[in-house]
Amino acid sequence: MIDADAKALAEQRLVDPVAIERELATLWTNAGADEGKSGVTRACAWNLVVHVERRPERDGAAASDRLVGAMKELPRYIASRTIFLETYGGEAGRPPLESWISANCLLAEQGGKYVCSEEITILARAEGERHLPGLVRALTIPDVPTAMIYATLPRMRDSTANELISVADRLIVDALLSRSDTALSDLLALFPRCGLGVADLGWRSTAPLRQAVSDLFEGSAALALNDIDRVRILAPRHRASMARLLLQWISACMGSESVTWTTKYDGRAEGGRSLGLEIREGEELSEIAFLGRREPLIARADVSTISDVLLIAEALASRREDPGLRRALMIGS
Amino acid sequence: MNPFKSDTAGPGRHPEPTTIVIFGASGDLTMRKLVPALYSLRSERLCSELAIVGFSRTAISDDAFRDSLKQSTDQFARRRPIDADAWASFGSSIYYQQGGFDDPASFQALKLRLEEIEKKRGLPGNRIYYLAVPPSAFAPIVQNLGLAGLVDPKESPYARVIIEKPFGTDLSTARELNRAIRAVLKERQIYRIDHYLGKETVQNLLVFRFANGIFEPLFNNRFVDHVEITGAETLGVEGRGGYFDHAGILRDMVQNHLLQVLSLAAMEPPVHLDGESVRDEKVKVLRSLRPITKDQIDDRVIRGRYTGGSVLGAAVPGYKEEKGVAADSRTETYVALELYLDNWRWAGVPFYLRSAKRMPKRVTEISIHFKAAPHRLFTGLELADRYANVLAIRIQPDEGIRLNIGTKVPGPANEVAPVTMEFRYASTFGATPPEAYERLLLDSMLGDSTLFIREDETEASWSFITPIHEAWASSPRQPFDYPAGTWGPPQADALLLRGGRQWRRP
Repeated sequence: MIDADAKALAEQRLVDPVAIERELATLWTNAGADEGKSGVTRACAWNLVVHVERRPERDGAAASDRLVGAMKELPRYIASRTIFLETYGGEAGRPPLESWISANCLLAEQGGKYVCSEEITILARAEGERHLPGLVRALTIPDVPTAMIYATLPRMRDSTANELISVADRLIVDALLSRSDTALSDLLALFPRCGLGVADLGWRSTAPLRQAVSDLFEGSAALALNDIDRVRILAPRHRASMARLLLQWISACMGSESVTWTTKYDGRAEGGRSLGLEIREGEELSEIAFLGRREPLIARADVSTISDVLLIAEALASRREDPGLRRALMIGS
Repeated sequence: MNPFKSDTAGPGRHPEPTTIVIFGASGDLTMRKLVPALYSLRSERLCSELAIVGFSRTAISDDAFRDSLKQSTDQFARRRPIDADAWASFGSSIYYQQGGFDDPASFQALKLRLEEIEKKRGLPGNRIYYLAVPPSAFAPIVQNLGLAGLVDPKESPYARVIIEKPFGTDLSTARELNRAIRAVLKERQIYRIDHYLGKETVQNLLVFRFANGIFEPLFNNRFVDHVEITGAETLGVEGRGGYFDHAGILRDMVQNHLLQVLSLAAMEPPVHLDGESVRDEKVKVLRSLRPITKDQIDDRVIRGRYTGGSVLGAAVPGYKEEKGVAADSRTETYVALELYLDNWRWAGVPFYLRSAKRMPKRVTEISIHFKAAPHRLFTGLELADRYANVLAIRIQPDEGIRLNIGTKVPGPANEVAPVTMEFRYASTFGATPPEAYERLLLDSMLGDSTLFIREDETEASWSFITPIHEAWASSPRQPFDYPAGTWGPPQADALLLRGGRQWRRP
């Protein structure tokens, strides 16, 4: 019987891709039999490979939990096979690899029907990690694209990450959650690695604010851009990367080639236009001020209104890549 | 004749009672495939009364032979565990005869034993001799069968000989073997077996192409961009390093299985569905293969050899570390070929064949890649370009057919995404398709040679393959390395890339 609330039909077993495929086929056949006349359709538009690092020394534990939570909601929007790869450090007495399958069944957005996504979870401990690329190659469904999804950024120094990304058509990351100082340049370096583009969830979450900026200069209002010589973004420290990326995007759109970074931006630029970033604690990133000879023009929008699951669904549905992201990253490089 | 048979036998074709003599009775093939297949046929009432006589050098009793077969059938039969009552009846029809393959007296003794068994069981004297033995034993066994008067060419009762691959190791040995066998047997008595042809999806190729009006008009150079045929194994040499190091994947897989699949996928419609008509068309395909000359070898054929890596979650050694492999081995465990058929239908369409050991998954598939729409009305076609317009026929495992088309993504933009229409045998018909050997053994009992290989087919395929081996033998180049668990060396990707293509991920 298929239940609501993402009921897992999990049974722990060894990593055997042949057995996994057989069990998944049985799972769907049984689901079809339980559903009776209404039947069940097995569909898949994407292979989604979610790589979650669970080693204590790595950052992003909270981000990983959030990503897994979002992935559990994704079947509402897209039929997929999801392969969760969870990597741990070595634990005495535990096998290097474990796996299980489950069906994640949710009521569709429009209601009425259950939509099920088949999920394969593989736990890799210590040396078990090197087997992951081969297992992913064995378990992806043919003739549909593959997306690699990371909670923050893949560790490109690891051969496993490199091999995994080589099978992906699309790479979905959230560089802005990374604590690394080189997160943005690391993100830019990923673009040539992935045939159908890189999507950054943090960047995608800024869409309302970017839209608000665009709306500000719609039609004849665009003339006001000539008077702008400063741009100020107020952002708390944890949003500094996001604010910086937005500023780079604005800079790219306005044809500027440089950006000035300050923690307290309050001066007028000498000798022309300057784009500055001001970090101010205690306030959420929600406005961008365009300052110049006239009244300030302020674009406001909340960047935290779009759920993670919607951001992922949009990242999968949208074509090739977001040109704005690449342009913004190039300015900073 | 049983007067009740036609009303009670159920659907399907029903052969006359037969005696099957298996040479190489104690071998793996007998244990894992042949006897389990015969058990399935008998227990599902797909064939009539049988007697099975194992023939081998080992001295064992009928009962000991039956016991070992019971054990292996219980392990390898399609429906497990075996039914005790069904086995009691089936097991009583199994006998064992000790003898040497090159000993004429053993064959005289076999003749007497067969007459005795057939008399006791009321069998009409139809006989099938199954040669589940090394190729070196083919000719001596056939000669001794002839000397003992066991292969009379008359139609009834019949005497047929099934010969396992490899049928020769190159063109000259294949011809030599054909000559030796044809000196004793008529071609219609010879059933050269390639178990791939017994697979349900391979047979479905004919149905799919010639029973539907939709696809066959598209199977030509006007609509097809290219065709890929992949035969991938996860296994390594599995203790057969000595054998494989002399054979290589081109001999072991491509010369027989993949070229047979190619011939069925590319052949013209036969006039009838009988053995001769179908094989007439298949051999035309093999004869239309454009030869690969010595100076084209490096451009059109990529050979590789696995190094250590990870397959199905386990660390595996490289080929050179396998037992029985020569230290200076240049044997290929991976081969990819770019082939052309010089005929009206397929002129200019590349056929890419690849076969290898230690791949990420075990799969045999044909994929037909159709040309893109002539005019690009839509943008955002990157995913659709890569994945749509593909018809994939899965031969094993999980037999079925997938058709990928581009479709509009819901929303205001004209985004195009690939979607799949899929048919799986197991889901649609609710049962695992019969084992290939079941079908082929049944066909041999019925005298239907459609799914067996004719003399001219073996020689046509060796005519194409042998020059490649000769070119390799005269070249100092080593095969390219690829890590076990990957889809082969990067040089094989370049084979397709120069035409703007890439291998489909099976």
